[in-house]
Amino acid sequence: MHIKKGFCMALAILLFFSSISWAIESNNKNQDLFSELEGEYSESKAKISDPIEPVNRFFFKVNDKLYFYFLKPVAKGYSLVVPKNFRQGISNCFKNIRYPIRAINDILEFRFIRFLKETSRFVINTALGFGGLLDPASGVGALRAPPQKDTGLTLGEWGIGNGFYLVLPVFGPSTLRDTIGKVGDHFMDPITYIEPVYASAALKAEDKINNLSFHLGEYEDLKRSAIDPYISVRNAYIQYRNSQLKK
Amino acid sequence: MRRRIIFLVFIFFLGLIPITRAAQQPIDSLRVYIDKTFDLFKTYDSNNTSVEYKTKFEEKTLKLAQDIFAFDIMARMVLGRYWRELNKCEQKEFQCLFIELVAQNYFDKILQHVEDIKKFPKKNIKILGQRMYTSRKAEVMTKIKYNDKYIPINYRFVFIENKWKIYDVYVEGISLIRNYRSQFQDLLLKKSPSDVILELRKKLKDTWCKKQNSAKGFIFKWLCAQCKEGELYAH
Repeated sequence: MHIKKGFCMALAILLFFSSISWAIESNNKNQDLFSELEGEYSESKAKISDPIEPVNRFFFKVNDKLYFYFLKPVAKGYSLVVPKNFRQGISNCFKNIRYPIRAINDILEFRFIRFLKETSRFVINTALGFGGLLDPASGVGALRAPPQKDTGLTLGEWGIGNGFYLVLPVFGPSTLRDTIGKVGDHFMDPITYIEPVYASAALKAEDKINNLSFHLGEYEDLKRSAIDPYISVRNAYIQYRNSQLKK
Repeated sequence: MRRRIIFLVFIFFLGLIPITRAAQQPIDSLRVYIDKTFDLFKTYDSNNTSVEYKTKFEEKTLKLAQDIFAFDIMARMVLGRYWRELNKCEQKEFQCLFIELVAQNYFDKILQHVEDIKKFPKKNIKILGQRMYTSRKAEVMTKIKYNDKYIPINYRFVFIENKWKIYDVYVEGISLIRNYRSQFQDLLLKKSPSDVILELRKKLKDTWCKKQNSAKGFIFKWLCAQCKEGELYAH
């Protein structure tokens, strides 16, 4: 009996100490983990130089006012008048018309399978989808929309870096590279060539408002949860573009 | 003697608990969390407008979230190397403020859209799979259908205290923690960590004051209960 008692005591003591050592070990492990995670974030992946920050901040404020006093009320009214399905159709239609931007950039990036996909989508959606109002191609698994490419991303694919951060009036966050890309997109966009010029501009404005009607409230959310909305938008833009580049 | 044996057997099984828990995969934890959240929302009664009811409901949603989100790690990562410059109480307070900052938005949204969330079909949330980076780091990929478009949302998991917990969320490739980190790092170039806490407090103060007696005030009270009130308001 005594032996058993001693054995039990010894076992209890052993368990006690092993639990302490386990606790210490797990604490050390946590420290390791924290430094491991810290390493993940210290990479300067989404760093962007911002030499003209004061100017950018100024245009950020201008765009902010433009959004709250003009774009938002217009898009809100628009979304009340135009039903959601119809807006979706318009959005599809604009996307379909802008096929050349994606097609040219797919070729420039030597992504021929994507080019073929985009081309088949364009043909199917134009012919069977009432000129692109509907998107029947997406019903076919293999013809689901590939990641959208634009000239800025093509330049990125070619190894050209972001340059520096720019906030464009009306257009919003951009970088030097993406601004040059936007000029490229402008010339690849069939809507640009519609005559007269004001008709083309009106269509582009309609596209912007239509698009915004799906994203109302998102900017407000971002602003509310941010400590510095300017930095938050800048970082989100760069992260978003970098992730698109990887696709 | 028999009691002792029972006791030993009991201890033995206690020791087994971490092992059985470790077997759970991050993808399962996420699935369980989504199921529990959906079940909770089904019970929400929109006709009950009493403040206590709403507070209770928020409390339940936060408790569920706390089970799977490692808010403490998030707060730590957001501050980066400045974390160590704070004392224990400041660290705690920063954690509270950070959760408040994130949760404030989250709960506002949730309560506004409870009815929509209740109607939201579960099949619109697709869990695509998981990727194990190391034995204690993983990512679960999901996509959520919203406005006829699928939005990719990825959750980064870490295995800590025998549980898989989320330490970062990537929405369309944008990391929540990286985004906050960039904001805090920018602020910390100009200000000391303690001043940043002050600023954060100022930003959230108005909402707290309004909240003190309203439905949302509980988060602050509840989370900061561990820090002495006097120290919290001393500045």
